[in-house]
Amino acid sequence: MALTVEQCDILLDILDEVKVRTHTLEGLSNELHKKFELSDYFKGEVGTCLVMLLQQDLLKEPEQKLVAITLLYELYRGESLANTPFANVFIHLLRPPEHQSNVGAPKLEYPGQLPRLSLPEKHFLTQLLSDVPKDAILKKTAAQIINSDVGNFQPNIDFSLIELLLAEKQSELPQTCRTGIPVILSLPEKTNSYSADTQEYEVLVKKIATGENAYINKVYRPEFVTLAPPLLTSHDELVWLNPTNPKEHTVAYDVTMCVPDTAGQEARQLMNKAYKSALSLQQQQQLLSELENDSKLVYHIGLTPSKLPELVENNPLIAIEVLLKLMQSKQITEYFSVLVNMEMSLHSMEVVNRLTTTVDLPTEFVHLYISNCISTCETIKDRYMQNRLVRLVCVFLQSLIRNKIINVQELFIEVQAFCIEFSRIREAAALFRLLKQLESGEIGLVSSPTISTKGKLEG
Amino acid sequence: MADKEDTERIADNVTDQEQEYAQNALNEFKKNNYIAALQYINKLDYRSYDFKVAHNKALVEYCKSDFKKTESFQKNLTSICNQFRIKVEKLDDVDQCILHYNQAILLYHEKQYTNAICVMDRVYKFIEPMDDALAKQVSLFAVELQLCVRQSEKALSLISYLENQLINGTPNIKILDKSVKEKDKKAPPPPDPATEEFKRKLLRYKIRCYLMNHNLETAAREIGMLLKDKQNFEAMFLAANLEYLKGNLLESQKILGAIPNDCFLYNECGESSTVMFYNNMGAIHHAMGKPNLACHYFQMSLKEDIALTNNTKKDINEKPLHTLGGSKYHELMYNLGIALLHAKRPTQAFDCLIIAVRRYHRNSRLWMRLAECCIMVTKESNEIDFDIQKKQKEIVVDVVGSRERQKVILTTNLSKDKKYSSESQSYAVPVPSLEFASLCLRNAYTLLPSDTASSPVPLFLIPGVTPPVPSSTPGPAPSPPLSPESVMGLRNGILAASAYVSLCLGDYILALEHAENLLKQPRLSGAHKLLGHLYCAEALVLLEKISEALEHLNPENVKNIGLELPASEDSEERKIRTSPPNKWFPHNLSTAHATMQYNIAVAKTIRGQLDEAIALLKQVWQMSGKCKVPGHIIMLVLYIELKLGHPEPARNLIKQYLFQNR
Repeated sequence: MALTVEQCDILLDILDEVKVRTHTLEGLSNELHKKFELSDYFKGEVGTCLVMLLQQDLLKEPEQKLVAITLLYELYRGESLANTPFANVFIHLLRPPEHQSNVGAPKLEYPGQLPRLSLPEKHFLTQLLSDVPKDAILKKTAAQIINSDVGNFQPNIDFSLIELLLAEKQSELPQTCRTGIPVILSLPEKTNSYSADTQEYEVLVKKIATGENAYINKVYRPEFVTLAPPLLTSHDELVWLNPTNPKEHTVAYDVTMCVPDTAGQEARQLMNKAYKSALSLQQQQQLLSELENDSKLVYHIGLTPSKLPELVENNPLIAIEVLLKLMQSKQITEYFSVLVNMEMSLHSMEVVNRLTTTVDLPTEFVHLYISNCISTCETIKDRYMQNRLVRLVCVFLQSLIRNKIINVQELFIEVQAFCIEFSRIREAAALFRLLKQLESGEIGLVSSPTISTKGKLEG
Repeated sequence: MADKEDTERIADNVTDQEQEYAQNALNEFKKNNYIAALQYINKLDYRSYDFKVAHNKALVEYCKSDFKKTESFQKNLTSICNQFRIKVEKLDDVDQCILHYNQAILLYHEKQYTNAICVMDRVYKFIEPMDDALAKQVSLFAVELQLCVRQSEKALSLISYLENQLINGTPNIKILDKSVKEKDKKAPPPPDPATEEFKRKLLRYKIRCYLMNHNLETAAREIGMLLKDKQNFEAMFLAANLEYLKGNLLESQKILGAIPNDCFLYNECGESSTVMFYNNMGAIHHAMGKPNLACHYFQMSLKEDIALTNNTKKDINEKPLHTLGGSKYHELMYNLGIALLHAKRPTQAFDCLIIAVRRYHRNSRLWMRLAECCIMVTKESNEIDFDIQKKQKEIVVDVVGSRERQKVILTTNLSKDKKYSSESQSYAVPVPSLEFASLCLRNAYTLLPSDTASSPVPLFLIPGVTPPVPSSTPGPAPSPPLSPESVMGLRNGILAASAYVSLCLGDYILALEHAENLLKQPRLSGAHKLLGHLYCAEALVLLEKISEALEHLNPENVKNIGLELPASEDSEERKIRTSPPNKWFPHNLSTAHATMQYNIAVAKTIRGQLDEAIALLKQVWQMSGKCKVPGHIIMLVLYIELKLGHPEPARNLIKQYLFQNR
């Protein structure tokens, strides 16, 4: 937001050519304060407009310029100079840039340059800014000041402190913010007529200084060229439609309704028994031979993963055969999962041992089973049972190691700790020796066993 | 447990009379005499403990309604499950599979593929004990489901299992039809028509898989076998697809043209050859680089699809099962959106893709495309930044006053892509804005498929609990799966777009992060490398690190501006040629270098090295004879002259470029 048209009118009225000649500076300043209710924000707006009028050389008469400068100062009457937003303007007025950089030849003109002041004007401004009573000078008219004789005045007030403060403030801004220049640029047309009528002048000022998007508030900064990225190159992105025959996938009728499952009847009954108690040798043979005759029968004898532990405990041999037949099944991992997590026993170990020697079990599974065994041995309370289990585990491990079913390196620490803990048991000591021998490379894995694995397992 | 065994025993206890009813019901069912079948089943009604009777009754009633009363069939199945406490999570009996299978079939036709897969993963575990006919049905269905979610590798592994087991394997024991059993027992089974038909179906699925994972050579071999039958329109579609993927677009068009328009009618088959034809023609024209024509075809296809799927009666109970999920609306919207985007109609493209993303919201590339629409809405092409004539005219936006008081008002910005607005619009509003683009890009990045192919599920987790089915993985559906190379390209694209959008929105820190990440990627196209450096530099300047920025702008950094990933020695280049010619501005390396040098001049100007900047700009200006250079150059010269305190040259520039063109 900038000034409204009405506000602009008032300001221009104060700066009127005739008025500035007849009124004292104080009078004009009072008028300004009377006509505008000056909030901080609004002070900025008025100040910006005044600065623009100075920069763009839109105030023809020297009196007008001086009044504008005075008003700019008076806006912030009583405040410390360094804190006012237009402090820079005053510094620039007193020391135009050419003075700082002693560049000679062509006349330089910077964007937003301010008019150059005459000596009396500078004198006046210095007085204004310095810490002296100003009543006397403000009682004068602009013309009186301009025409006053100040002799060989040299501005001798030290503004370096203020300048330092200002520079500090500036440096806090990012560099890119400091690069803006006003977008208004004078481009005088060379004409013969020199009578500029006031109405046109007011229109111009209002056009620049008023309205929502007033030019006065705009700046240009150097711009990067930012390239937008290319569209993604992708292969085979669009959907190609091929026939899929959705009709082929339709609901199905259950053809097994009321069809007695005769084929598996006997086997199923035997299995039901097998979950509860050990089958006789004859029964075992009958079941196994039925399973042998029909490779798919195994899926129809009612075995589910949850029933496996009972089968293992009561009929380990049947369990082994059945599991071997189920190796192709999609459910085999579920069976393994149950097996590895069931309570450790001679029978479960026997089943696992047989499986390891017959089929490729997932290593993960074997490792999990061993960890399970070791932790069971460690936690069991009954001393007699513990000894028994430890012996079993040791023999089992030796068998696995000798048959190269497990890579002992992967379990080395765990197994070694186990051996040390139970070193009182002969088999554990033997296993420990085996580990050491393996470690030192004393024996390959093909040497003959020191203990008959099989015999011990069965015993 | 004991209860269950008891009921099992009772269920197995079947009288001869009951067996006869069941046999009769089955025979009538096979002859499609549903009323008669129902009558026999009703005679078994007293077996209220037997869920098979209840199931078949519900099923035959459904068949009797011409597969229209889907909703009530679904309800019946659910209530049977509740009544007999059958849960798919605890499936452990092959007998219950058929019930779940039927539920999955309904889910499939309702397009709930992920749910259907969840059920079928359980059912499939019992494929071995199933009877042969059902096993085949189940396994083909499992393959189809995997293809629906574009998991061609999984589908292929299912197929290879099928080939081993069902064709070469031994027949099942529980077959009702005695005659079949007898025949199968003879040592080498003669090729019976059913097996042949099954093999053909399997072959079709295999080809679809090969096309999907771009194994074109194998696909070509297998299609040849199917094409022996001249009337095999399905094979012709596949053949056209193959030619399309190979880039033989005219050949593909020819094959499509030879397929009769009405060979698959929607109400009969659940899919329409007309819809397929127009859609595929659209794809071909898109690949030819004729996006407007492609749009036309997609619109035709869409019109047909809407007419077919909406005209048939609205009520779900009035539509037969196979026409429930036949609409290709979202796929067509996707295609149309992509074509519109390439036709430089980003606003319309956005509207289409927003519809597609509602269904395919886990597709990274689709989110990326949405972001591209947003970007294109704000900036149609980079070419506008290089149109010196036009940019000249934009330097002065107004002239006020006259005579000696004449003032020109300069522009505040020549580039229109920056938008540091604080408009309080939520990013989440789906309008083609850069704010929404940033949200799309975040989604796209999150959904990027990981580099490692799906990690194997560990074998053993918790006792007794099978691992849960992974939720639908982010994938490219409805498009075929992405090759690792495509994923790389996509990731680069997302990073570049993210950096650009962040810059435009004034988030330099994020922009720098994305741009640096982009430059770190192992393989980058020349264009992305250029962009990575440009974006890094711009962000760094705005973050007050001009020296670092200048390093990025060294023209030596960019040796080419190709859009394709550089070939790597280990990439097996499967040549798929379906991407339309991509036109990106700048077209040549000199323009890219000119852009970099111009941006160096900007950086130096900001740092106050005005003389160096002006010297650079002179160099760039000299290039303008050979290639396009940024149109901002005059404005920057003007700026520097003013900054140097030389208003006269600046005024002359304005008079020279501005007023002569007025």
